[in-house]
Amino acid sequence: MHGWATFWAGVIIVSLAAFTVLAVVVTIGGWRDLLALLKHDSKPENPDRKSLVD
Amino acid sequence: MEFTTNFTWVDWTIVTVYLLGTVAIGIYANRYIKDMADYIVAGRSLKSFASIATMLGSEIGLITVMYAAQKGFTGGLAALHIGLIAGAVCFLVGITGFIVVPLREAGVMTIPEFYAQRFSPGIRILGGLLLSIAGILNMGMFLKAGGIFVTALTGLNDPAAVNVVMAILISLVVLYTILGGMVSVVITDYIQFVVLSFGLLVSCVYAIRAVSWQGIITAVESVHGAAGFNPLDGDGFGVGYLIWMGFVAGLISCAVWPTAVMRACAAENTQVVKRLYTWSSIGFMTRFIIPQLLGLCALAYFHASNQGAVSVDNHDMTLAALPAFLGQILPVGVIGLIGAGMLAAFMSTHDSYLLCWSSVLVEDVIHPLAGGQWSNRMRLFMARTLILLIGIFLYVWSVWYPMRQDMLDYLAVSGAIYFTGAFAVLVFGIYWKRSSTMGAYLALLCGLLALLGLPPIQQLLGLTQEKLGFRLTEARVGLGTTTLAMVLMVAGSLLFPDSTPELQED
Repeated sequence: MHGWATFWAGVIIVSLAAFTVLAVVVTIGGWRDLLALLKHDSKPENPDRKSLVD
Repeated sequence: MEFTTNFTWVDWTIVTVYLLGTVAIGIYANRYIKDMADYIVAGRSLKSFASIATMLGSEIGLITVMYAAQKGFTGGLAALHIGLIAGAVCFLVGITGFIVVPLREAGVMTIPEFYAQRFSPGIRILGGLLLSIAGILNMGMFLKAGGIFVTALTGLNDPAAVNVVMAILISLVVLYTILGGMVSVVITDYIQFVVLSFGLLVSCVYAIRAVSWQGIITAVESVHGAAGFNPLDGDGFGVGYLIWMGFVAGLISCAVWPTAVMRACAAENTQVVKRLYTWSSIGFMTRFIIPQLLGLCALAYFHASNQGAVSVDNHDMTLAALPAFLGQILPVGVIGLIGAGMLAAFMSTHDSYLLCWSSVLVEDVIHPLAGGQWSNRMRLFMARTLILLIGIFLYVWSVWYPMRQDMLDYLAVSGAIYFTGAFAVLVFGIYWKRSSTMGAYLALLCGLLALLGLPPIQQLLGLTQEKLGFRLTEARVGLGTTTLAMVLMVAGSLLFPDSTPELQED
């Protein structure tokens, strides 16, 4: 059981670290993509659309 | 159930403001919806990070947190194997593009649409119908989990009050999903992802401070014994369950489950699809492991506070363990923020699922049956009407259905009605040119056998352990149905080949 406990402790530490990195990267990158999506939706061929970022 | 909590009016204010703000944004997104492609897949314009955020915003919801924490509570440290397997399989899907890249290349909006391209319109209708039934049944326990969460976190011990809160939540989410479609789902999923992911990390810090690693080890050893550490131990999960989870929590949930596949269909190109899955593998792993860690902390906390008297057999109590634990260890303000994040995530999951099942019913069942001549306006109206009807059904089902298994197992079995057959149809349809329409029909219908994994059905049919000589577990039913579906797909294709070989060459 001691070996398994050590293994799971390692899994938890790696998961917490990976999730922290993922959260930061996706928060920043996702914000940029979201702005691009909303700008895309206000492109000229759809003149009746408005943009959230204008 | 009586719960003590630190939840105060300050936290109620935070929750209310946050939820209303989310709904307002969802409604505001209505101005971006002009046709069905905008409504369902946001005009297929999502880039990598927005795709990842919206996929994880939907897949890491309150429901996931609740059932994963419950598994940590009822299974011990050994339950962490589910996240490891799920992450590894999702990563492999990202590297290889297995199933999801061909689907994106096909340019379809839903999986049943692929059935029509590859097989026949009839397969599309049957597939869409089974998918919707399975998906809506699958959602059936979401509100119950939400109700238990609110009860335990806030200390609302009056069942009538909980029902009112649930009715308000489902009304809000139905409202903004009806109005906003996929654009509102993308925006709100992003907000949910940010709040929930950082909220979970903060909760972990408080949870680990409230108990200790040694406290977790002691509780797991006391409650679960060796099976709480070793996932291969037959007294706990066992090899069959590991394989079943690799299939369900890994392959199915990322490559066959429609709410995840919709993100692949909404991606800008196939490169984005691969990047989406490779990166999301971290999310697919941690969405189990982090809530399970919180469930383990709850186990250690209640084990210590109850002098070792902890029951893991009452499914409602084990589901309530996490919110009850958080309600007792988090300070005022923080609990409101985390509660708001969790409830918003609850709505985020609902909006994706409501949108998915209603659009499948319209695009793949009702519209084709009606002759396929409906205007965009009519299809949108029908999708929005169905969202309302599904919302009403969910409320009734969650109050009525008796829960007799862990929530993860209920979700896996109800989902299996669809995915056992769909897996065979998708894999053979994509990768085997000789697969035929008859094989697809047989494989899809075979999925209905998965209903045997639900305890009330087993009781109804008298399929007890005493009568059979063995326990008809979820893993046995699920893996058996999957294998049979694949056999029927192959046998049906060989015995009844399609008469138009040029279709198979496409």
